[in-house]
Amino acid sequence: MNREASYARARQRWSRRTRRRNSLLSLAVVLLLTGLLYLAGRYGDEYQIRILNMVAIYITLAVSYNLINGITGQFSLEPNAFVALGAYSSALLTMTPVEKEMNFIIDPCVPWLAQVAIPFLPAVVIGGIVAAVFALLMGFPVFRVRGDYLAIVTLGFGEVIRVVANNLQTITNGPLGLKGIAAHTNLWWTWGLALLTLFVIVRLVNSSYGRALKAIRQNELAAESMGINSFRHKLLAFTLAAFFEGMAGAMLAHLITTISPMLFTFFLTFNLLIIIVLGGLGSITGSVIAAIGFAWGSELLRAVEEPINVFGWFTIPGIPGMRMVTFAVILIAAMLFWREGIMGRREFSWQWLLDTVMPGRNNGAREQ
Amino acid sequence: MNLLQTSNLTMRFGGLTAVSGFTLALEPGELVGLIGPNGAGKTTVFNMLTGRIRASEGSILFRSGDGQRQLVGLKPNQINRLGIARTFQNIQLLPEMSVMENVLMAWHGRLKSPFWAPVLGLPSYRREEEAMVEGSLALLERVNLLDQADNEAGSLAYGQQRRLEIARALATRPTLLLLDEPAAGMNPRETAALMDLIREIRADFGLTILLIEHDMKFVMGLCERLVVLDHGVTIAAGLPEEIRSNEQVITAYLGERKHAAH
Repeated sequence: MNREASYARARQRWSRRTRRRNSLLSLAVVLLLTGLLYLAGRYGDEYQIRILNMVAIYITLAVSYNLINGITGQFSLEPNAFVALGAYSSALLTMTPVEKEMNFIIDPCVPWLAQVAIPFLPAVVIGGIVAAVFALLMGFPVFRVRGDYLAIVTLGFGEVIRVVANNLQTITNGPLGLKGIAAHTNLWWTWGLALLTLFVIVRLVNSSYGRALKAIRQNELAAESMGINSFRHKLLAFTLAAFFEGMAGAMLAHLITTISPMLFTFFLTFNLLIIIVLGGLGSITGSVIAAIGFAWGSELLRAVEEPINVFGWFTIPGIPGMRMVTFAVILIAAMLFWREGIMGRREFSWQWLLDTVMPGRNNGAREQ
Repeated sequence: MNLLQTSNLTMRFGGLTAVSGFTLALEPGELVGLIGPNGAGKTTVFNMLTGRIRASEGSILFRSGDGQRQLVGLKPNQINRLGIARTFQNIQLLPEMSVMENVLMAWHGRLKSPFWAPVLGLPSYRREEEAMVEGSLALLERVNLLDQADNEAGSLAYGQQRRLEIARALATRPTLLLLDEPAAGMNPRETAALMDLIREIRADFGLTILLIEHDMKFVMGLCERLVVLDHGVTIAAGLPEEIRSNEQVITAYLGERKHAAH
């Protein structure tokens, strides 16, 4: 291949036109999704809408968790803490003084919080900011360690937040939790947040910052020797992930309307870990696919906990917990057959789709 | 003023002194070779200069802009930003990323746009990215890897990976380039081409180069000045011809004469 052709090919691949084409295609998908959400909101029943809301929240959580664990390669175990921070902050902010008085029956709520009541949107954003500020403060000590140690330290932080929530009676209402949170969350909010998260993280990962984060994952020594401040970039990924996780927590609180520290145990983190590992650590596409599969699949699998009638011969009684057993089996099978998760580290790209659907045509970036 | 001035640079690992009292002055534009038998402490010197390990004693002064900076105690990324780039003896590319991305990554340290600029698609970031792409393509052409731009770096041949490391180091716009065994694993033809490449980039980018190499033909043919390390101690320094006939150097490489005679 001659020099000019190499230049032209590489330039086109990184060109503005290719990017604009991809943006237009993505916009079309967003419009299509908007239409589908409208239809779902109009004709879907309460149960279906609930599942769709959970799918969107899981997408938000998985994609942001994947930013730090998958893309940046810093194995950490704390998202339950950020979800809890977002959920509690936003719920306490939207609850009216009367609602707070009804909730805080053992000890009254602290005065500076008791009289506050703000609308949903600012409360969600503040929920995200609270989580992000904690992430930033926590990032300074935790990113002094790497690998297994990082996992242990972040796991500890996750537990600390939960235990604090359990004991700060006058702020979180302790183990009683908060009840009767206004059900502000709807499909537009949850999917809006999921799309915002995807937009921000995909654009970030596809930029120079994304290359820096991936460089840190693949070879931190090389990244640092080439002038990349790995500590600052880990902190950036961590804080940004916490911001979205906090907002997802706010959505969750206003969806299920009752929160207590029990909701934010390590199990939440564990579920997210399953999602991102199953999807493929480092693949945003994989996180989305696995999040949908997980949120929807865990509802589908409710069937295995019901009594099952086998061809009218006999009936298997319903066993509570069968769902988790089935999940475990699916997970083991998936890990055996897809060692690197569903997507590995590959990503969906419009280029790939165009080349697959219309082979033989020159779809811009690639010479045929 | 010298570009680089180390004095009494010493590195101890527990009871082992890997490098002791290393003193070196580099003038701008020089091409200097650092040689010595295996385990002499050459890579340790590079690791101290680039901040990968912190020197136990001594100082490293580096000219950056108008002033001189003390490099001991700085982090590798800070030292790189001041103008020292390196390649590695055991190649340290990002094997899963494309050749192009490996070079693009090295521009990131100089990026001015904050993280939200690419997210919002700000023109300031777009301009920076376009400059990065053009610059990286030019560097890839320079090291003759343009046609490999989209391939995974891990799939390149050994010699190509070494050249990619050089392109990546150049992308950080260094004034001092440290090459750790750039010719290792290359055949004679590739080695000859590499010598030309190193001379060219020195002239074109106004570089000062310090290199470690075992291939004596390569070192003698390329370097203007040599420094010889043995057991962490500088045993000789001077022009290649002087080094070639230096008794102490021959002893370090081949052992003492009476032993060699056996």
